Amino acid sequence: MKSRRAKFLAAALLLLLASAAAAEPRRIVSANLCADRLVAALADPDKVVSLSYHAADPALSTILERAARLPLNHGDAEEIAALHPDLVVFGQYTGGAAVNMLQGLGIPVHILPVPRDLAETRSAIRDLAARLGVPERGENLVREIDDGLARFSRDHKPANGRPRAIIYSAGGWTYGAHSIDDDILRKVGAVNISTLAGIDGIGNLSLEQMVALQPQLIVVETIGNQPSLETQLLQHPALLSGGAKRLDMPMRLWQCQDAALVEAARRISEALP
Amino acid sequence: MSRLQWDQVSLIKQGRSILDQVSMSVASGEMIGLVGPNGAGKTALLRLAVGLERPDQGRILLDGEPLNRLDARQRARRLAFLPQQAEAAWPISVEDAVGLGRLPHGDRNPEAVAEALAAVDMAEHGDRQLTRLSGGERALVLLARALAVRAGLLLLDEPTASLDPAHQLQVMEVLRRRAEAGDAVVVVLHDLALAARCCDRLLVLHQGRLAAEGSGAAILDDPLLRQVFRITVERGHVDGKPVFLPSSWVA
Amino acid sequence: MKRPPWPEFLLLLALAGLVALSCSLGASHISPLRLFESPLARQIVIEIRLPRTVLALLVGASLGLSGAVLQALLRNPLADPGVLGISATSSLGAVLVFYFGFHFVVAGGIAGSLAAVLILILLAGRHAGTLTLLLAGVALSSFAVALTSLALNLAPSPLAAYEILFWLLGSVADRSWPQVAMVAPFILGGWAVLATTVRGLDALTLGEDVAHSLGVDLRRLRWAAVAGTALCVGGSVSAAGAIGFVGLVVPHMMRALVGHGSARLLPACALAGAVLLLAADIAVRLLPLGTDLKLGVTTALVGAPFFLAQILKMRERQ
Repeated sequence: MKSRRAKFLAAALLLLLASAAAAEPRRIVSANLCADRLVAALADPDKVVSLSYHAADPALSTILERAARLPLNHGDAEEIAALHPDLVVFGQYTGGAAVNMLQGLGIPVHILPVPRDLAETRSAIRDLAARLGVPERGENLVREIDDGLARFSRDHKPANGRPRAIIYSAGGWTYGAHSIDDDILRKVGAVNISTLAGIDGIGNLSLEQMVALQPQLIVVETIGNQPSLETQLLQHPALLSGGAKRLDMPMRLWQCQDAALVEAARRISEALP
Repeated sequence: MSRLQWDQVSLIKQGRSILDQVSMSVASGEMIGLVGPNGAGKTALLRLAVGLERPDQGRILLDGEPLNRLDARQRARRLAFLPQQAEAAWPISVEDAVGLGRLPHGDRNPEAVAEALAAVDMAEHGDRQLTRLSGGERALVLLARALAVRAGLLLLDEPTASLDPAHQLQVMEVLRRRAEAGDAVVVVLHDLALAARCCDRLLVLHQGRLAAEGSGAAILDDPLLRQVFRITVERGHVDGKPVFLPSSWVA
Repeated sequence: MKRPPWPEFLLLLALAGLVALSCSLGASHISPLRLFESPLARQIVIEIRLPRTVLALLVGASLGLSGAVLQALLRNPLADPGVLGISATSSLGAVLVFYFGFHFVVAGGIAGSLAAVLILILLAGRHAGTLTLLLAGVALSSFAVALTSLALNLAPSPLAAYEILFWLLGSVADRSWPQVAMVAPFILGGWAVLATTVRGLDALTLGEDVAHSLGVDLRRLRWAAVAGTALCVGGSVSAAGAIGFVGLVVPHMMRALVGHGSARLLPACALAGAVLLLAADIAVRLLPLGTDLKLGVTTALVGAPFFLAQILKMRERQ
């Protein structure tokens, strides 16, 4: 009798501890733009305590109304610790020293990776959803994205029949193999000529090189229209000299790996010849 | 014929009277020495004639015309000026330096340049750099520059300053020859003996006023020398011409 | 002693050769010989390579010419729009106009240039010696660079802060015809104004008093030099950023070859400046460094040692 009660007590204790450890976070702080958007999409609103200041930037954010109602942080450890969070989400490259400091204070931190393709996007969403304690919502989001993209997928025509496209950003930055942008271009049935030019990940092409590759569609990432030399490059008369069509893509549609990607894919699909 | 005339000219700078109703003139074929102690206003008088300063009172007539009615180029053709310290910013060649004198006329006129160089005995030095010449040689070249203007009216501010005796005499000889050829020459000098010997007339300036005017022999008497120049002299004769040497200064 | 015009002749030949070379070089490796068969080649050469080439010529000539005029006017062998802080202040003006949303960048560049010259005259006075003038230039330059950096950080565009290298070191990469057309009238106007200083500058060789006595209107001369420099340097900086040392080096080189007479020296300096800058731009494109090396780096690599050599020579003379 004694051993059975002891086992029962031990089991109950273990269960209690386990559930405590696996308890959903109730005070979530997001310190990164893409994390903001995913957290806003996945977690209950009353559990989100703060978003990053980028969430209020109309050029980058898709959750402006949410941002208007919450305090905004700058990714600073002291600032965040003062909010008494039980989970802080940082981006892969934007945490810096704050990550270590918060962990040192015993505050759990989740790092949202920058995915290099759609498969990594799915796992990033699933991991975050699990951490937030809402795995079903993560699955729903992944399915929403996949279904949405599938609507714009075209049959894979033979390579020389596919339209040539390129993503060209301020300053000549472009995306080649192993990037989300490349994945999306391929999904909508285009050939990413940056990949053909040998670019892996993010790379730079001079105006002349880009024009010489003769794209049919140039997707120009725009981030507001404040003047700078790099954005001036995108107004160079020679940009469209090869007869290419230009599609202005607001940065916020494809900055992050969430449902906005579907809208981005739709626009590209419609713009393709 | 009067080439240049200062008519009751006054100049006041920073509250101080530099020149006080000075009247004088110089005619063609005349060489006038302008002498006086430091600060007497000699340089100012020349600068007024060149147009570097404007008189507060009185006027200046160039060939009978008021100076302020002439445009800069006309004045530049009729009047050549050699200031006290001319330096060359660049290692310009002697020939080019003298050639600058032709600017008012807008022509190159190599003949005028050659003639000017010959007049100062520097004809073979045309290709040398001005900055590499000795002080005396440079002074002669700068004088040649003024001669190249062929203005017929020369105003020179201490052209013999810091020159050795040979070059001093050479410069004065060139000026004498110009005067004999019909030019009007006004030269500011500190060396009274040199001035008395070479100039037809002397004008003595003292504290902005004309203290005396006349030939050197006549006006450089002991009272004037003591009062204006604060010196006593020893007099003598050489080749029948009177000479004098400053011997002591007076407080 | 008349020197034969072989320096100008050789420079013209070099210019023609460099222009051809500049139109042949590019990341896409398309040869201009295909100009007539391929519309793509035509586009690339005419829309991308040619404006860059023309701008390099305009800017180089402006810098060479204004350097020669400044050195003669200030009677100082170390005068140059860069050393005296004129280019840096011009940059500041251009930055203030460009990043804060106004389109007429060249107005900012010229205003900056003009302000610089006026400030220099105020700081150093008209009869400034070498030391005073150079120190005034250093002060002005440092101040302008600091303000430029601040302005770029405060600019609305997040990319602005990274663009400071362009404004400080200069570049003609990917400049388009509209940009060249915006500044060309001002640059050419500046040249025309500077051309009127030829006679007066010669007269200045023996000093201001002699120049005056030779009939030169010194005030008009100074204003012409100021205005002409402001126009062509301001225009150049507005399109290509601040490029240094061309105005310093070129007059010294050309004086040794064509003499001091401004009528010949000024055009020769313009020509040599154009050749030098175009050569520097070609060098930038040939060096296999991948990312966009700024033009000012190559001119500084040549010009700064030259500057030091000049200083040593001046010390020896003293």
